[in-house]
Amino acid sequence: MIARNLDEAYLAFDPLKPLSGEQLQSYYVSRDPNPIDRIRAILLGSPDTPDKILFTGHRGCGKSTELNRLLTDPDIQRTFLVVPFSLADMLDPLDLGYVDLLIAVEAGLYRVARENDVEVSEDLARLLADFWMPQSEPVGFLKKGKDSPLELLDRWFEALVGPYGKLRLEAASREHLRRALASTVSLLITHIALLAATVRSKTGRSVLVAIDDLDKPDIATAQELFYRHATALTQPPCKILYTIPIALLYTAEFRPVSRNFSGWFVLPNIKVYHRDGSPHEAGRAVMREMVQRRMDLRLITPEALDFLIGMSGGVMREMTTLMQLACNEARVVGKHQIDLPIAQKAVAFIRNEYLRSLRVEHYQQLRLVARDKQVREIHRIQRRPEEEESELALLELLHNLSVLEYCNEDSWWDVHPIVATLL
Amino acid sequence: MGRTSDRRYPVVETAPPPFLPEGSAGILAEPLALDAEGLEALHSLCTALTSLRGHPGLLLALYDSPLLRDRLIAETAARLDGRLQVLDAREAPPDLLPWLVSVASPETDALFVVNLQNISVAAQYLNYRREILTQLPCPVVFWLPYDKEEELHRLAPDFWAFRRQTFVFRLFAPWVLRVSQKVAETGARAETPESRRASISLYRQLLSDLEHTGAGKTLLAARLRRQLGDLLRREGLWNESRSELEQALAILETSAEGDTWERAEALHSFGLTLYYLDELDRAVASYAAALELFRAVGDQLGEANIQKALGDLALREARLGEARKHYEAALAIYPAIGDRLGEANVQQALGDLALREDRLGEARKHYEAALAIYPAIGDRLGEANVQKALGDLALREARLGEARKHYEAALAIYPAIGARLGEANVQQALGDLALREDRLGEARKHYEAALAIYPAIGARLGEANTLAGLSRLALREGREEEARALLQQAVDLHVAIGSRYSVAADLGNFGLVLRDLGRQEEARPYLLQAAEIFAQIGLSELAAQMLRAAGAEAVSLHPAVARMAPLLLALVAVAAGEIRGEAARPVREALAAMAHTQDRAALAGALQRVLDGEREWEALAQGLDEIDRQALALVLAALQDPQARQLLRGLAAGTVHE
Repeated sequence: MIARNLDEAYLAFDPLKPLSGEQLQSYYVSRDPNPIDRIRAILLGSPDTPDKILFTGHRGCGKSTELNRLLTDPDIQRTFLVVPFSLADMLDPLDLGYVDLLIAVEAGLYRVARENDVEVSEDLARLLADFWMPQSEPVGFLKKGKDSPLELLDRWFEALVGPYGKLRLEAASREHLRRALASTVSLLITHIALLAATVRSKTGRSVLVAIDDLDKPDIATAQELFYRHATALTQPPCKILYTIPIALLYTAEFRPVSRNFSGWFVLPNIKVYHRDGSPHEAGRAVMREMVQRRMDLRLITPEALDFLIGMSGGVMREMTTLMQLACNEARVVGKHQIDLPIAQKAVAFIRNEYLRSLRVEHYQQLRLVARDKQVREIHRIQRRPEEEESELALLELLHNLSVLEYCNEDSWWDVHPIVATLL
Repeated sequence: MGRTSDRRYPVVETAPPPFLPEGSAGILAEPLALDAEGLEALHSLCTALTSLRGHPGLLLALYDSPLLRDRLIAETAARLDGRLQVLDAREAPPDLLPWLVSVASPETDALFVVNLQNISVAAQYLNYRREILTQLPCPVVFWLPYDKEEELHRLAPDFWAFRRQTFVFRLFAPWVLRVSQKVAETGARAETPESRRASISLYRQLLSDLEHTGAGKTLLAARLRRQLGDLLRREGLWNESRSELEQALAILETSAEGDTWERAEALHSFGLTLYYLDELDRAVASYAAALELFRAVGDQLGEANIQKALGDLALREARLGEARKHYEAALAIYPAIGDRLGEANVQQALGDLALREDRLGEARKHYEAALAIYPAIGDRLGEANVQKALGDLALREARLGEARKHYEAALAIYPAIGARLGEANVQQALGDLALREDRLGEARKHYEAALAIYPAIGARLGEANTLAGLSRLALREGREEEARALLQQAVDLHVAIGSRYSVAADLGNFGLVLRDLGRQEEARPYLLQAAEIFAQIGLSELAAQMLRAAGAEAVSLHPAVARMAPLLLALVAVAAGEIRGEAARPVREALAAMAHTQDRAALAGALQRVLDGEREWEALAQGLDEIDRQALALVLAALQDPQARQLLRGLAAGTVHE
């Protein structure tokens, strides 16, 4: 699967998809340190402990790839019934509440259990059906008929979180369910507990719910979920792995709230420079291997490769984007190899994008970060009015990868190498 | 800047893309020209799309003109050896990506998404649902206005991170100029309301693009603004038309290059728009300036057009002699230069004039001459207008069935060509006809149809005329209060427009209806007031009609005025330039003697001012008594109206008695 020419290489470097399946086997490059290994250890160390783990990282650092690797790990598969959870498929990202999330967890767990032929007892089915029927009738979800409780539940959860799920598509239905269930959240927790117990007893496996795209809602939604309703999110008696927006880590509220969870882990960017600006050979080797697994290194000159690695900032997707840009650029001018001028052209494309997006207040923040290699905490609640603009600018810079975080024993930050050329 | 246009690739006509209006195939056929960066971006985009055939992928293309975007899309489609599907995001829900999947054709090699709306909401959905892009079997290119890039990047950073590349296309001035030139030369398509609106949109975009490339103050831009002004006027958007024409004139006046003909055309167009805006004095000034310029460059067509326009204006202000003079001057030119449309138009105008002068046979002759031409040259608007005019004529001749036939022929055409003013006019005429036939319900239906249109297009004159019609209808239906209220509205509007003739007509017609209902005493004040106004504007025959209807004598001149008739007649001849120099001395001496009398000194002063060229009644009549005013009214009427002059001649000869 290694690309032999630039046409193949262009397709091999695809920023659209995280690695999965065959590509995960062929293209994956391990990194050190990797918090996924620690998460794996926590999960396998005590399968029945209902840990709630927070996982985050900068956009493009490889979170989804690492999660895919974790969830397809043979030991994980053996130990857990994995409930992969696509928030975007089940819920409305623009109108997301904690009740919706718990409903979706129950629905997801039920469906995965049924798909894996886990036998749900008649009693449990009736219990769930008796609970959901009254909730469903006012909005015409289900009608009483001759269906068995299991058949009713199959239809109910399909209607709720299926491809045309009411929970995602119908604001009125969401509102109704939130109102109806706000005071009975404990019952939802109980349902999840009962389902998890059923899975355990029938399969010998514990339940692991992995919610990958909770890092996508805006910061206000994320705060509402994780800060105001942390208790509800940590109550379900099974392991849940939540991804969260990295911006939450920069808020003052994070530290006290994070204590509600078993642990929080950041997938760091690869260091391609030391803090003092000197090249970080180990990190560069990881990036070089990332390229080598996808294409024949004779398709790129060593200096071009080194240049692009430096400019990627150690962000996996940035490297992918730069490589495919360089591939296309080389083909446009009729070259069969990426050389330094081509690599510089690819970098120039990205630089121009930043140039068009950055504002005056951004540059002020960038210079501070470049100087101090630090990002101060953003106090969202007790923010002074004069701080508002600069905090917003800093959040935007973190959001658009103009500022990147790296980990040693402590974290440090730096301006994205391409953006740094604009300062 | 940049290279010359890239002509390596043939341009293939494709189906009209989202922005360009139907019939703009000419623009698509223009070879695309881009600056060096744009050419490279286009090549890069095509290279990427070729590689991504059969694979998902996200690409972003930024542009600064929808015209350029559509030309680029057409060019890309021509270069790619495959199938491209263009999707208009205005048809999509806010959560766009599932919709994209549902409408994408399985055979598509690339999807282009244009017109993304409400980015602040759409971006959030794009961000959250971006994985759906991986389900597509082809790449997607989102085409965005240049100034939306930052917003999308900020609000949808994860979606943004999925892109392979961003391609930036900027307007290339030579291309904009070439396309604009072509459009200016071929003109706008304006046969139907849809084509007019599309052309307006195209012109506006071209002008925006010209500004963008620094060519917003060129003669080309002035010409496009003039053409746009004409389009807007045809669409009934008169204020917007004025704005464009003012900008066109501003460019022409300050331009170092100087284009006399273009300036003349712009002044002509401006005058036409001012006419519709009821700014008649300014319209006259504009026409006069245009005429001078057309003559300077020897443009007979322009000259004829201005004469026609001046005639229309004079007719509107009831300066009938002057209107005739201008129409005849136009008619002397149009056939000589082979302009059949102009000839037809002025024949129709002469028909309107004759109708106003009550010369019905002459009116018919002119209308029929026009009707012989319009269909032959395919001018449906002209044809409809003359059908309407023949209807008016037949109505005057009390041939009601024939009037209806002509009106209905006009009504069959006006809506089809989107001529709303014409449609409203004929609806109003049908209302008048039905009222005359005592079909009150039908009259109301037509008046209401007219009134649904006139205000919407800002046609105050038509609106006022319809209100007047409705006032007479209400009177016939016994709704007194409503009738008087409607009459007042009509009069107020006619006063605001400055149409004194119409004010007199409103009052007079109202009085006539009252008289017909047997309410002579109530009718009298309306009729007398109408008579006074008609006399003031020199329409003595109509004044006489009103007086007769009111039960007054046909000619109620003061004896003193009748005795002055010979002097007044001679004075008219001098004022009209027919008697000059030494031959005019007796008139001047008589006036000088009059000035020394006690009774008629003020009249002498006013008459001297008439000799000096003044014609404005209000200014001249100040300080005059009743006798003087009659004398002055006679003189002014005789200067404008042959019939009034005939009356004066008769008085002077003693053949017309009080």
